[in-house]
Amino acid sequence: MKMSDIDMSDNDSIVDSDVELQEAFARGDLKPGLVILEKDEKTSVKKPLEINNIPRLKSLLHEIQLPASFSWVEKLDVISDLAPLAPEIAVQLDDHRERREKEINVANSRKKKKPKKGTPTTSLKSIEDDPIHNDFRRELNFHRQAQSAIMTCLPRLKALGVPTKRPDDYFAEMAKSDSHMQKVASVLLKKQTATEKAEKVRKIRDQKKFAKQTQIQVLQGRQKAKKEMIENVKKYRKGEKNSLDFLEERRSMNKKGPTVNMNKKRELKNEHYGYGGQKKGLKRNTRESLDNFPERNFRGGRGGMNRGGGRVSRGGGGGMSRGGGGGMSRGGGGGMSRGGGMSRGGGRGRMGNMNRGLGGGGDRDDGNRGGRGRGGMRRGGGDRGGGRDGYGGMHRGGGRGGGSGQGGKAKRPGKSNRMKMKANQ
Amino acid sequence: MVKVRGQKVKLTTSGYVAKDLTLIQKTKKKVNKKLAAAAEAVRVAEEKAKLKAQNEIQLPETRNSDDPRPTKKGWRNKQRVLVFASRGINFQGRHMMENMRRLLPHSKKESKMDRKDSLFEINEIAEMKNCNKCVFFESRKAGDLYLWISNIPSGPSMKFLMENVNTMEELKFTGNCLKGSRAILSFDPTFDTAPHLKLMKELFSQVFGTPYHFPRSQPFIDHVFTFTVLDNRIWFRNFQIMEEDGSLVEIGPRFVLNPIKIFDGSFNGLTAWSNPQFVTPGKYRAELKKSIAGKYSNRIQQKIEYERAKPKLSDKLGTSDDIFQIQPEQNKS
Repeated sequence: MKMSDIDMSDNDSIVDSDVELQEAFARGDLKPGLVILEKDEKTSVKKPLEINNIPRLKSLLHEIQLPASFSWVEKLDVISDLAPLAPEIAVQLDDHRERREKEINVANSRKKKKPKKGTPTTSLKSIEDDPIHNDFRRELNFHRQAQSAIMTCLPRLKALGVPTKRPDDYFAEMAKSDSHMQKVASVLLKKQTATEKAEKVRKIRDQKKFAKQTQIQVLQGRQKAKKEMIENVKKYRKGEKNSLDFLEERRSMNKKGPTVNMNKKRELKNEHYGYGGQKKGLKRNTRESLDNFPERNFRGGRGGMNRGGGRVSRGGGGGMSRGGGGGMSRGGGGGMSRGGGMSRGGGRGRMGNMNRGLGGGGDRDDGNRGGRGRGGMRRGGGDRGGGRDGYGGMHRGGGRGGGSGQGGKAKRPGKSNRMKMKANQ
Repeated sequence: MVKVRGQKVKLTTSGYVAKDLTLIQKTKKKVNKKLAAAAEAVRVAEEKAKLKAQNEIQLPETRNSDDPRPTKKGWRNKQRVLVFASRGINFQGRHMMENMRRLLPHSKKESKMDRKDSLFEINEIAEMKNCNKCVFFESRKAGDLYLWISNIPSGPSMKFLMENVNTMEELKFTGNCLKGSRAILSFDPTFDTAPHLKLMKELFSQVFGTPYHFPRSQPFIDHVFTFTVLDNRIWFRNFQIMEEDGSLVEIGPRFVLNPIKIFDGSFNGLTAWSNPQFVTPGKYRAELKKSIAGKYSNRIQQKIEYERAKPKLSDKLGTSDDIFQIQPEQNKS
C-alpha cells in the first residue's frame, strides 16, 4: 500500500485489508492523508511483448552486409540530416500557420453551435495539434532531407565520374507514361486557372465594396450639406442671419460638375449661361437615376427656360427662394421648398425655371403640384416634386429671368398653360 | 616545239618514258593512300580507346572457342528481388506492387500466392526464380496491407504494416523519372541509433538500391528515396531531382511502414525484435468501436454512481466549522 504523505519508514509491515487498516489505526500508525491502493500484479494490464535481441541483431547485420570491397557507388546510401530552410519556404510555412490558426479559431467559435449529425467533432485545440499544419511541416522536412542528400551525393558522384544529369536529347522510357504526364499537366493548369479566376472575382468584389463605401460617403455628405442649407435658409428667414453668404459657400463646396479641365473663361460662361444642351434620355426612371437621386448636377439649367409658359421640367432649382425675389414667389417657393425639401441644384444656384412672369401661375400650379396639395409631404420624392417645379425663388441672376434656365431644350408648354397664355393674351 | 626537217614538231615523251611517268604517279597515289589509311587507323584506334574508357565492352577481333567466356565486369552486386502479393489484394495494394516493380529494375514478377500456403514456401518460390531478396504484399481482411521484406536463403525477414499508401498514379505527384534508373537512398540519422534500425537500413538499401551496372538499369541518377523515422514508423518518399542545385518534385509512391517484428530467418525463425508500441489494426478498430459503444453505458453508470455517492446534506453545519473562520480585517482607525 502506498501512503503519500505518511512516514512509515519505521513500520515494515504491509497492510492490505480493512481489518489490518483498522488495527493500524488503532495502533496509531495511520495518519490523515490520501491513501492510494496499489494494484495487484495479477490483475494489472498485461504488458505487450517486448523482444530486443541486440546481439542477434548485430550478428544478422554482419551476415547480410555487403563486402567491404564494394565501393560506395555500389550502394548509394547516405545518412542525411535536414537541409537548411530557405527563406521563401520559411515565409510560406509562417503563412500556412497563420491561415490555419485563423481557421481553427473560427472552427472553435463555431463549435458552440450543435454540429450536424455525421460531421466529425474533433476539437482543434491548438496549432500544435492541427494535423493539416503538421502535415505541411512533415512534408517540408522530408523535402529538406532529400535536398541535403543530393547536396552531399551529387558532387561526390561527379568526382567519381559517374554521370548524374540526364542530357536533354536522351530519350528513354520513363516511369510514368506520356499520357499520364499530360493528365497531370492538365490538372495543374485547371488549378491555376481556377485560382486566377477566384483572384479576379475577389478583386472585383473588393473594388465594388470600396466604391459602395465611397458612394455612401458622398451621398451622406450631400445630405448633410442639404440639411445645412435648409437650416441656413430658415435662419435667414427667421432673421438670425443677415447675409446670404452661405449660398455662395454652398455653391463652391458642391461644385462637382464636370471633371473636364476647363479654363476659367469657360467656367464663368457656364456659370452664367448654363451648361448647354444636355443629352437626351436623362429623365429615365432607372436604377441609376434612383441611385443618384437627388442628382449631382441638379441644375436649373436642365429644366430649360420657361419660355412663355412655365412648362416646368426637372432640375429646376428646388424651390429655393433666392435673394430678393418677389414675395409671392418667396412665399410660394418657401412653402414649396419646405414641403419639398431642398434641392441640390438649388444650392448651386441653378435656380432655373424661375420665370418671374410665371410667378403667379407658377404659384397656382404650386398649389396643385406641391406636395401639400396632394396630400402630404414626401420628403424624398417630394423633393423631386418640389424641386422639379423650380418655383418660388428667383434665380440669382435675377433680371435675366431664369438665365440658367436657358440651358435646357425649350419645351412646348403644356395644354393648360397654353390655354392660360391664350387667356392672358 | 622543235624544228625537225624544217617542220615544227611537238615533242612528246616516248612510250617508255610515259610508262615510267605513270608508274611514278601510281606509286605516288599508292603512297598517299597508305598514308591516309595509316591516319585513319590512328583515328579509329583513338576512338576505340575513348569508348573503352567509357566502359564499353570491346570484343576482340578473334577468339578461340577454347578460351574461357569473357565475364561482364560491371555488375558485381548481385541482388534480385522477387515482388509479388497474396490473393485477395485490393486495387490499391496491387497498384502499389506494380509501382514497386517499376521502380526496381532488379525485380522479378510472380503470380499471386494462395493464402492457404504457409509463408515458408515463399523461400522455395524465390529459389526457383533465382532471387535472393523478396518483397511480399500480404493482404488481410478490411484492407490491411502487410509488407514482408526478406533476405531469402538465410537472412532476416521483417514484417511491416503498410499505412497511408499513395500510389504513383495519383495526379498530385507531378514528377517523373527514368524507368530503371538508380536512386540515391537517403536515411534519417535516427537509423544509426538502434541495432534493429541499422539492420532495417541495410536491408532497405539492398532491396531498394538498384545495383551498379545492372544490365537493365539506366545510366543517370535522377531520383531520391527518403526513409525517415517519425513516430515509431518509417516514412518513404520518392523525389525527382529537377535541378542539380536542389529543386525536387515528388514522383510517388508514398507509404508509411509500421514495423511489427524482425525474424531470425526468412519467413521463419525466432523473433529477434518486436515493436512494443504496435497495435494490430483489428484491435485498433475494436477499441474505437468500444469507445463509441461504451459512451451510453458509461454515462448511465456515471449517473448511478453519482446518485449513490451524493451527500444528502451539502453543507454540514457542525462544531468543527469554527475551526476555519475568516475574520474580516478590522479597520485601523
